[in-house]
Amino acid sequence: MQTEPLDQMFPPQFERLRGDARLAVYLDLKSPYAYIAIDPTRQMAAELGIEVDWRPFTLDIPSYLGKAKLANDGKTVASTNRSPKQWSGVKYAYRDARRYASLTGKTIRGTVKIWDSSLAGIAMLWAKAKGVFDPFIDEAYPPFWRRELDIDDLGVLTEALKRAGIETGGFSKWARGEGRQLHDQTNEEAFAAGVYGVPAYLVDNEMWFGREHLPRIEWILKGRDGDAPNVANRSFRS
Amino acid sequence: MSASTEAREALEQSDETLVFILDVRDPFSYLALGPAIELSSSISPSGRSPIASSTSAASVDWLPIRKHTLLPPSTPGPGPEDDRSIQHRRSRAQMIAREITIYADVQGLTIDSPYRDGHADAAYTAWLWIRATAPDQLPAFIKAVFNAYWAEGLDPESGDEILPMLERLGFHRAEFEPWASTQGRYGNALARIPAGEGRHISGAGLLGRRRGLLRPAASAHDPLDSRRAKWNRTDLARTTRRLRGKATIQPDPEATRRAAFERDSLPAARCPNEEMPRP
Repeated sequence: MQTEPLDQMFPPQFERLRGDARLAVYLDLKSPYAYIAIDPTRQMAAELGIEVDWRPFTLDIPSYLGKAKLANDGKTVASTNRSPKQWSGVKYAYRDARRYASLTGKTIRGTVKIWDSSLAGIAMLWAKAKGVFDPFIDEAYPPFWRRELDIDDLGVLTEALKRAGIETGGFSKWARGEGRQLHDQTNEEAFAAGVYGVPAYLVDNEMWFGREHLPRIEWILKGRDGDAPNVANRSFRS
Repeated sequence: MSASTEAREALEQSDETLVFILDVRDPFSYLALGPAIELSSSISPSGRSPIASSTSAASVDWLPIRKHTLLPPSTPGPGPEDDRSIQHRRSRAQMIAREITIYADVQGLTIDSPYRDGHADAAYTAWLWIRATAPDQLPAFIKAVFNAYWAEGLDPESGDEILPMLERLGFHRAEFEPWASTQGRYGNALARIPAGEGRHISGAGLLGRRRGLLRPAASAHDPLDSRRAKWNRTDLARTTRRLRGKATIQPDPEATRRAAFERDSLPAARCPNEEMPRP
């Protein structure tokens, strides 16, 4: 167990990784938890009048949760190397995400395979570079979770960028070269620092995983005045 | 409207039993205990915990469980660099340790080390006995056991340590011991069911008995995952909404769990003609 004072529990690499942003948030299109964290994060940021530095983080799910792929019927599992414990965790995660998603009218269908979402991450970086990150994720997340967006297809992602009003000239070439390099570098820097899941929040010198920590993040952003709050899913505070 | 008023009104309008499932050895259960008791008290303002009483359809129940315990972060070795899987688990374990320490501090709780092993059979037998005979006093007993375990070094597997605790709460050893050696032995087997693996319980948590499972998550997620526990102690407000009937109806995991237990966990010869202890 760590015995450091509370204000020294987080290693300095998290603050370095945050950089100049007051709040940096890592997302992956294939994470339902990231999807349902976007709205409450935006709400908090708007109330505080701060900008969120959204960043892609492509999860390597098979490295910690095993692999699985659905059959063509979209229901039965065609192949998997997951243990019963891993399946239990995955199924719970989807049930949990769906319960909360349903409260805001979002659809979350289980994915048919574990996607390599790195192209979507590259598209996020393109959108961010164009200064229009939010419209892109609003365009991409809902259809992906309705199984209507093939994020392996660069053309599909290009169309999603266009629908979000983002100029796409040069995107294909950039995605295969400079964009890929930037994505991989962003991913590795975050992973090496200790980011392991999404949504991950970098604030002050701390890193938190999960939207249930938004009360603490808000408390930190407000200057740590008063008692530190407990965890809570922000949408349901009275 | 305050959260407690909202929760109480929600339960008054419901016919749910809200079940808190906790593991004494699980730090996320300890972090969830205070908010759970607070919610329980708001449901029953006297602080009592009516369990499926005939006069009140809305009720609270408390069940012990033995879940997988937390493992400490691995240490990078002098050899080749660890693979991504090991690095992922290490980062996650380090974050869990930070989360426990920080949120324990928020609640003023003492958690010297979250990495515990061993059993809690004696405590769980007493837990189930109080649940069956004096449910009003169950939250106080559970709170005493958790505090003594985490802050005072209580051995929850030791009858010699649990019996005095019962007596301090006004219970009589002579009434407890016969029960413990009969129904208690059977009921306690329930608590020894490892979490997960086809029983739809992946961690200590909340169980809306008729509408599905909410887990303590740890880090969300730990839902429930040890995170997930995440129970979610983060899900208490959500529970209130569920009790108001705003959630989708789910299969009854309690029935599933009980059926799995009865089918798999205890040979019939060990529990002849005995019912699971119920209030």
